[in-house]
Amino acid sequence: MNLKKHWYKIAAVLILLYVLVAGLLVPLKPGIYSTDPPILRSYSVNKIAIEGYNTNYAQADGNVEVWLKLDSIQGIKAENVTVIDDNHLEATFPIGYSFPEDRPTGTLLVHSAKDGTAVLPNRKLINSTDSKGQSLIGRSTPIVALPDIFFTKPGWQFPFRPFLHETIRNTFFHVAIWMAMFFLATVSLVYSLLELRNHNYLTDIKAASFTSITILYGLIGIATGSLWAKTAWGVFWTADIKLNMATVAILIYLAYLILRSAIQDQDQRARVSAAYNVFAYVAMIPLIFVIPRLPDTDSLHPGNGGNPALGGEDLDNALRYVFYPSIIGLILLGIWISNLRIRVESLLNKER
Amino acid sequence: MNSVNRVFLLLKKDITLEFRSLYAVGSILLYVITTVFIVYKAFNTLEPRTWNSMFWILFIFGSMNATLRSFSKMSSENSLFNYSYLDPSEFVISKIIFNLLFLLLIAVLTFGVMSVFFPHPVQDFKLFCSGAFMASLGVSIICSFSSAAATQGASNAAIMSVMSLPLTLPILQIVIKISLQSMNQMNDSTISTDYMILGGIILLMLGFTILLFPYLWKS
Repeated sequence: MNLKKHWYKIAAVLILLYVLVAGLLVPLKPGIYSTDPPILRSYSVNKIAIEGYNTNYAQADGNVEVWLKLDSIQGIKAENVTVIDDNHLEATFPIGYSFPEDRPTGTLLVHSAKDGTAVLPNRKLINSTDSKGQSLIGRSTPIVALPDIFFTKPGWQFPFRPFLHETIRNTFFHVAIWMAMFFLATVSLVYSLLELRNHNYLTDIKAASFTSITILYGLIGIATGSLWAKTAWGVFWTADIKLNMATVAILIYLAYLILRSAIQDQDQRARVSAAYNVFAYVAMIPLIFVIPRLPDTDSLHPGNGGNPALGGEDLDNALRYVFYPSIIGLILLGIWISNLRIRVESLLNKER
Repeated sequence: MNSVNRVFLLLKKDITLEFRSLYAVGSILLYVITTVFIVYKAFNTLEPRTWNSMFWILFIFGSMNATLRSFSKMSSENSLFNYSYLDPSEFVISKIIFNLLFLLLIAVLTFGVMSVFFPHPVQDFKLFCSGAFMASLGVSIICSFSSAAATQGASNAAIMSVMSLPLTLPILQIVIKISLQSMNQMNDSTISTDYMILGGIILLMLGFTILLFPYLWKS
């Protein structure tokens, strides 16, 4: 076997194998799945059941602290933290004062010696006017400065995010496939430009094959995104600007295939479809790179109103180790599939 | 004779040919009246949002019908004459201007006929007209390009709509937003950014149409 010729196929298989294994097996950071109830009231004893995810509370030897973080420096420490099992806790916050008016929500921190600190934001703080809570004044937990004990568990783990949970692994497939798709579209554009400069039936076939794999990747990107939307947002399809723009881009490229099938004459088809491909690529740029970046567009995607794909905070370093290889692997795989298609098409062409 | 003069000469030729037969103008008038009448029978009354969407749907399909034949004469025997005597960019620019005039006529006709059957909800006429002008310009560029490409194919009406509809979507999306704004149906402070984006898209498409047209022409 000629290794020089086939290196990229081997690389594609190895990289995608790595992406699948690492992307699916690396655990998530310990996190808080939910609390019951999700609100805290002033002037009452708040008994809260906490459900952890990937946590080991029972193995922390009672070294579990629960804090309610009010702002960047202050918080309330819970009393009577009871460990039920590895994933369940009960904590009590006797609160005999009003929460500050400008604090509608607080962040729950669960710190254990074994798992590090897990965070769950957006716990509603409600100031009740119930008078029977007055007896709590004097023996409730005070607001104190947060101690310097919090840390995240070391090691390679993906971040635990509320609502996303395990589906954060879809980053390696959904986001990466869009990037790979854009790369393949660019390759196809280059072949179309070559075709316009210098007509040659092979460049035409190459451009067409790369475009069909571009469309395939786009459809997979929409399908994976739709599944992700179902778990994260609750519906398969929303009026999100990026969904609509991506659909339009796919439609523009689908028209390319229909245009090709409609023209019988080979030379004419090559020229017209190459010109259309250049036009489609140009039309796609504002769709994907300009309109979703507008400051006023609503999008549920992360990095809203700025960078549409990946904000700095959204792409954890642990994700990067898998995400970037995934893009490269998918690009190589796309080139491989396109090459197979090119060979089939050119053989069919010879037969005629 | 410089190129501006030649473009105007080509445009004058197209307009003269059009007025000699009045075929295209007549068919467009008929199209507008029939479709608006169908809408009238189906809806009876229209809310501003529905009015807006109906207006743009009628406009886009009417303009596709109208521009379909832009290059059909090109494929017959005078194509050799055109090819040897004319500059392709001048030719395509004159076609774009001709189509623009035509689409403006469609927009005015659709607006007028719709206002007869339904009271129109437009409140800011300046905004609406400028939006309609931008839409006509963008759609005329895209339709000129795709009709030039479609003329090469066998069943060119079908290819034409398949190619141009997705390409016009981004323009239409912004223009619909602008015209909703002109009816006070939404409050949006980013209209000027929308105009800039729209202008950018139109310029980009215009540039690439002029660049790519010579390749579509070489048959």
